[in-house]
Amino acid sequence: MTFRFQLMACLSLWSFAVVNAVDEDGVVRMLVTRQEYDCFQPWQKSAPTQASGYAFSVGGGRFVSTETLLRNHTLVELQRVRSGTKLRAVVELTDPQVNLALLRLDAAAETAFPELALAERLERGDSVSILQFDDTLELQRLDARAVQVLVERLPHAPYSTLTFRLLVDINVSGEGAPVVSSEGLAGLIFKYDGNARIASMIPHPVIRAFLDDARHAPYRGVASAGFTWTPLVDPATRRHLGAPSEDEGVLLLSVLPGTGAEGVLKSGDVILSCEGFAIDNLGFYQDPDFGRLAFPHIVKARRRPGDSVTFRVVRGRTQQTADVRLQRWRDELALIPENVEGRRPPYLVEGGLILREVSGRYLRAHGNDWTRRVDLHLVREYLTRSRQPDFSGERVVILQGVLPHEINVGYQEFRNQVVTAVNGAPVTNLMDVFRSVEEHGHLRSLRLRSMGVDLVLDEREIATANRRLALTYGITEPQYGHTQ
Amino acid sequence: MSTAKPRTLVAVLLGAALCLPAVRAAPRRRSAFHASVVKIHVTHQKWDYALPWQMRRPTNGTGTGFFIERRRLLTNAHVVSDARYIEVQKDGDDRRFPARVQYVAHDCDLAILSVDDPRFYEGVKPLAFAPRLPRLDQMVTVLGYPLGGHRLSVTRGVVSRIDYGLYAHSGVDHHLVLQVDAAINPGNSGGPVLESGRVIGLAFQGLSRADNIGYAVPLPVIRRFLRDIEDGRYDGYPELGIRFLDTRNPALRRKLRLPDRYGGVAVYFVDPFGSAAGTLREGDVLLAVESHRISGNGNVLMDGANVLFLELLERRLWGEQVTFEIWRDGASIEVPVALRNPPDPFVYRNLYDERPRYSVYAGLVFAPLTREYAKTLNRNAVNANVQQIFYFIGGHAKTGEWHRDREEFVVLIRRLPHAVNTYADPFLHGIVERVNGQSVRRLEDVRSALDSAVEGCHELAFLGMDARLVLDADAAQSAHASILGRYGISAERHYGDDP
Repeated sequence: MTFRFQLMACLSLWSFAVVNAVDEDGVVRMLVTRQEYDCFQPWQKSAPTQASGYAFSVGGGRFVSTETLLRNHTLVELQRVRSGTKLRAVVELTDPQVNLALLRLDAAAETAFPELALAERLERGDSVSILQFDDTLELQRLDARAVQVLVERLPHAPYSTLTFRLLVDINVSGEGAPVVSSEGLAGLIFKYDGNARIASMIPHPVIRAFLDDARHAPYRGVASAGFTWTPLVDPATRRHLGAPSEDEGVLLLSVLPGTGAEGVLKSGDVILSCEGFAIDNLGFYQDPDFGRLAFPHIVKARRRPGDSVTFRVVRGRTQQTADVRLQRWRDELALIPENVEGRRPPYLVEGGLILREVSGRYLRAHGNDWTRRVDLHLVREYLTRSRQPDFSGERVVILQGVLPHEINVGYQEFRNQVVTAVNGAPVTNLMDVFRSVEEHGHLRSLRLRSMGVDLVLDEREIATANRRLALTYGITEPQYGHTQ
Repeated sequence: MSTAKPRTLVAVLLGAALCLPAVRAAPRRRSAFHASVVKIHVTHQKWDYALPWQMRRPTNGTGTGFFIERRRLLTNAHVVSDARYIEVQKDGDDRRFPARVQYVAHDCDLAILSVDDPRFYEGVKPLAFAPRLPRLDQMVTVLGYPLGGHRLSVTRGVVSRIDYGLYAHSGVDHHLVLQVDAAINPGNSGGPVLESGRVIGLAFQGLSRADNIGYAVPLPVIRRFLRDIEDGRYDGYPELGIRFLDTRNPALRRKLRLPDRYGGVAVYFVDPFGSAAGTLREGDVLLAVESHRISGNGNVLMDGANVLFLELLERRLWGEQVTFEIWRDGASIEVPVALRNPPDPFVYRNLYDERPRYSVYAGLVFAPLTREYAKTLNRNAVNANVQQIFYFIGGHAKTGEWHRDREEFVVLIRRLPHAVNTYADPFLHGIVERVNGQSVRRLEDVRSALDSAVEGCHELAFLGMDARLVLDADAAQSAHASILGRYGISAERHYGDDP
């Protein structure tokens, strides 16, 4: 009996220690109102929606949460534990590549929030607690255990980041919920699968790097070497490429134009090591902190944009080293940018013809069966070379559709067709279109891919038609974006 | 703009899955048609384009046919496609007679059967064709053997519409269609549509998710088919092979310097495999065809109705010539176009009675791109190789100039798993560009290039893929025969029935 009592006392003491490591007043509920640009009529916005999640204080009136929760926000409000008061906050910085956002309280509303200190370490198997609010606005602690450490692609990020998977007892009620260990803040939740009871967490090293970066402007972001790769297990292919052993090295598939790897690495290279870390044939290396991890983590977490890293590669059956200058991957480098953040896309409406560039967001806006609904040429371009333009600045410019009016009689059935020339001059992106339209005053003619005849608009009528079309179809802004 | 619009048309062939209840014959008065409209019993068996060395399971179906002059039995092509055994049976006659396909036209879904046994023709009275197409709202009768019973069925309705539409059997061809509101159900296929006792069409397809819409192959299409086979061979419809834009837009007209008195359509794409290749050019405006003025919408006035000008070419036979009046370089000229075109390997029709071509090596199955193969894939898959297949099936081979480098697309359609090819899955459904450095222009090239391994390896490059498929040449060679045996492949290749 005595023994049992002692055990109970021990347990409660331990729990007490966990809560004390972080001050619960550092956790806030976050209410976000969001509104996106209408994917098909980009001069207007769709209906606003609301979402809620969590953020945690990092001191100085600043908070951290996920980028996905704050994407396209129009209003952000924070709520303390046990309080109905909503405090307005403004977003200072977001980075979709690590799915993190930094916000601060609006000056007028500023009140003191204790800082949640970041933990120094977390390992596979460790017990942690997830902090969230219950229905009475009381802080609730969910027991969880770290079951997996991996380098995976965050929702819509261009490449992978270090994450942890947690096994959870009770449902997690929102993104951004902080995860604490006995040492402090271990990470924040960005995804939860209720069926498997698995929560995905952005861990403390990623948050720490983000905060350090944010403190020293300009924000540099996460580094990228600028190539795509695949595991290289097949012994026949390995022999063919001259890989030195059975289990060392992965295959470089393509080098992305405009990145530091261009001209340094080549498709067909076998990458044996990065910064001295040996890479196995599935792409893993032994990380001093986290054990076996996918090798992009070396570049993402151990190096920064502007640094140089050394790869050891096999090319043409001989080993050599290659130094790649790292930079941050920019969506604008792609042939078909993703536009994950849902920024307002540049477009032009002239004579009822809607011209824009293709983005991943635009394609997917056609629904889950978008591959059936979009012109097959666009589907193929997206799936085979969205990140590989033939030259820097190349984009896929399309005639999205035609708003019917007398001026465009005969052209009204064209939809999602690639535009190759405007006013007689070839175009490779929407900037070219803007420039040409600026130069000629109007969009006078348009050439579509594999079409030997231009679509022509009446120059004498176009100004009147534009005014008419703007009124009829409610086009508040006929152009967004401009020549630089 | 002329593009095929997606519709869901269903061939009204009665499948074996629909169990027909046994109904006792009631005494009835025989009409004149009983002896002319027959039931066709067919056993079909399709080639399996996913396992191209073998066939799918046989299925049974029924359709309708009717006698026309010269002891010909007219029906739909889809009733007798992929047929292994055909029997015909007259209404009220217990006997079934074996029949064979004499002519088949997949592009307009018509076929003629013949029966060797002379007893079959006893008491038969051929149906006569009407002199012309009926008007809208005229009463029509449909005869046939649809589901729901065994004996001849008669339904009645009116002509609802005469239009230009897709023939679902080939999946790509468009011709005149006759729409009626008389019930047309599975099993009616091949049956006559009569107006005042004379044939004006042949029931052939319905529209899913619609009521009282049945389609018939109209008189002009049947007549054209009969004229085509007069020389003992069916040649089919020649393709003009152009895409065009209407010229209603005043700015476009000014750019083309087209006088106000003309209508016409502007040619913006000339198919290298079409009849127009070499004669018509991009930028030409077609003003008239065979002295029929083409309007700015692309229509001509024919028999008092406005129809798309292509319909005028529809009635022409292979090899005939039509004269276009065109506007080119600011002047009107006449251009004769011979309606004949070379076989076009980049048009993907539904295939029937065609043994698939393929070759197998070391468990990798290669086949030319066909619509039948594409049907085995998931259209919604977010997979670059699969979507590339649909890209080419959808007609982009020619707009992207891909056709210049090859006679056909060759696809890695399947992997028969074995240690030698265990890492080949990422390449499935990819289009083979090169094997051991040699360009693959047609199926045969794959196997011949595999005779020359490079440094003990075979290297296969695929369209739109950076990675290469590498096989150990010796291991592949020694595994080849055992893979054929293990997976029951009777022949390692079939290159076609032609020598």
